Amino acid sequence: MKPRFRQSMGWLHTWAGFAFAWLLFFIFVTGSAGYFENEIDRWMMPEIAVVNKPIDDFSVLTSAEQQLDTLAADATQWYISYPTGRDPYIGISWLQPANAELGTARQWHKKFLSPDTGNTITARKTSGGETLYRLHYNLHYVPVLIGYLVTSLATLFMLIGLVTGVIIHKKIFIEFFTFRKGKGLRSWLDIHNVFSVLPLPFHLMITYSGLILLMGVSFFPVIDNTYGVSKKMHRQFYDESQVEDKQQQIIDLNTTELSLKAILTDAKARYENQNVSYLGLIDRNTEQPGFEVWFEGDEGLEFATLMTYRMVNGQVQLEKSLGKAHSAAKVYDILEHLHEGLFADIYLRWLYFISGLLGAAMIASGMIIWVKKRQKQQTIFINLIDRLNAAVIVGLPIAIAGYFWSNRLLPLAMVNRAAWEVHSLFIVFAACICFCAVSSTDKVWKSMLWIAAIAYALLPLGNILTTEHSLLASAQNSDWLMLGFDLIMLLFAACFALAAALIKNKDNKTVQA
Amino acid sequence: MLILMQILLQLLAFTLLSLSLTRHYSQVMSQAQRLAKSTVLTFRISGYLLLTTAIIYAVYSWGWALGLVYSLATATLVSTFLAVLLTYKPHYLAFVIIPFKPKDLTL
Amino acid sequence: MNFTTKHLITFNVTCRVLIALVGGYLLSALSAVLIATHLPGDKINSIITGLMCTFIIYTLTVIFVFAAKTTLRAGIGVLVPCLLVYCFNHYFNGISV
Repeated sequence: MKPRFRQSMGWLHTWAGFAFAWLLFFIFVTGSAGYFENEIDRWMMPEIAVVNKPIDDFSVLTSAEQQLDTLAADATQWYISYPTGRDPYIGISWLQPANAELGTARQWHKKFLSPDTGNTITARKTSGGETLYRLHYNLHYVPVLIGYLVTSLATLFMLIGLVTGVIIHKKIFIEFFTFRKGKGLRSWLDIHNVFSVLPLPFHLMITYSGLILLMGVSFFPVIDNTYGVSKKMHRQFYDESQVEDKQQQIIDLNTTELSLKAILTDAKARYENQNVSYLGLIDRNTEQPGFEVWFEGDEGLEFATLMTYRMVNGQVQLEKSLGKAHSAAKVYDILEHLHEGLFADIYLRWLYFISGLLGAAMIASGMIIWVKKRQKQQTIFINLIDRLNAAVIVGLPIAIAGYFWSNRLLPLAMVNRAAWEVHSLFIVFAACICFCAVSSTDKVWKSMLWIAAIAYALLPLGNILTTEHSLLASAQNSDWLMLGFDLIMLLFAACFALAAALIKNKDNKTVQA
Repeated sequence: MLILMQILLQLLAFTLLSLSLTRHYSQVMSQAQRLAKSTVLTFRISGYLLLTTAIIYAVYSWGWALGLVYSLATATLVSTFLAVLLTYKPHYLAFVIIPFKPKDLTL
Repeated sequence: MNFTTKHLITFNVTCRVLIALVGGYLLSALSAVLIATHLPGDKINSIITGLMCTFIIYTLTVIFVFAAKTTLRAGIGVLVPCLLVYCFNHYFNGISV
């Protein structure tokens, strides 16, 4: 493209980054929010009663089994979730088979139990954290396949941007810590470097593993040509690659019929220091039902393990998974787990979240630099990009605040309530774009930042007014997730307010919060 | 506790590494300063040694996979923190230089 | 910059983008097939390994296409390896993409 290698790479870096910057920003922000999926879920279902004192595992089992017996007698799978650090409440879920008479499809149901009475609590219908993080690869409104392909393509551009970025950055070590404030474009370049270089291991890992996760979709012709054409063969390839090594042993349990209670007793005796996170009963109503025990903290980086008990020829067989059978599948598994971060404790989880936001900030600062380098031209196009930058970079956080607000404000009995929560996210997003299109260029960043600050600052207040969860009540109730969420919203509000206060009306040179 | 140890080790390591760079050394000293080669070397070697120690320690406590994740995550946290500190409050790092100061002034 | 050179640049850039995206995809998919069929050992393993290499090859190809001196050279540089790998696959396995 250009006479010198570095210049060509600079050109590629600029335009590969520019091409999908907004989409990538969207992917990074919603994906980062996904690291707190369970915590967001808790906030969006304020009806749940948290377990804030030690609780007897067996009494939980008794009341859960009672409820499941009445609610889910003909379900094929039962799960009981025990209170854990990230989900401090008791839940039951079951898989209801399709019913031709009623015309209902096979589907999962979930209810929560009150730790005091053992009665069920029905939480409000919500899209929760799951839909929010799924946005980052399915894009919600488009068909799933298109969503996968578009996000894969964007991620490929991200990878190209990262590699070329490393190539063109001449003084990667000398300027490792460098941020020169108050120097216009120079400061923006510095901050772009800081956001990219310092979390570079994270950026490379998340980008590459993101591509790998969807490789079966984006590179399906390879499977066609080496394994077999057709959906069925793809399915078979997937199943075969997921085969796990299993350790099986016959144990002496002194019983002829397994029950959840018996296996809970056995599991607790086997692993005294571990907390049970799930009990499962699969293949119910068959000859050989399986009883599963999941432990908290067994969600390892290499693999997640569980124990399955079954009756085999009158004896009890205990089966434990040892990870994927194929060595390449093991690598794939590690990358997948690194991407999802389910193994992360609270420290790593926060670093995942922060690194993800740094990635979003890297993209945002890159876009701002793109505009700044061309601002002298004063064309309508550059001006439009600048406005749209404000609409996306600050508008997306506002839209997510809108998503949280809709959870509290939409009527509880509304039809399709959960779907409308997501609609409101995109409605607010669209409103932000409209606002940025009409407001004056000089003030657009400042006003957007103030709107974001207000939207986040008022969330805890909205929580107090619409539910009984105030900051004080949450603290008294040791409801740390609710309290933490509200406090983080205030922190976000403070960051946006700080950015708004620092920003100069005409020349927006400030640190992105 | 292991995490705290990891943070402290890496904080010290990255501080030493940043001080081996003239720009940050001057920031901390609040005057332009040419660094003697020996000082740069001391900072750099001790910095890298500490960093290696931190990584080995992490691998030792968590195993290969998790150890590397922990140390890289901590590196991101610590270096970002240092970048902010060096920009806005560089003097907080002066304590590391004090033992070297007299030697440098003579050069 | 006059009218014609401007158009020439646009044409060149469009060509390179196409070569990079389409050619890069072809080359990485073909190489993945090559790896999947020729790596010793388990078949599933080889396919997964091949698939995991695609994105590295893709990225390198894109970088090459934009680093090449002329668009023609970029085109040839992608096309020739594609043909080579294709012939190799075809000749040894009778596989056609």
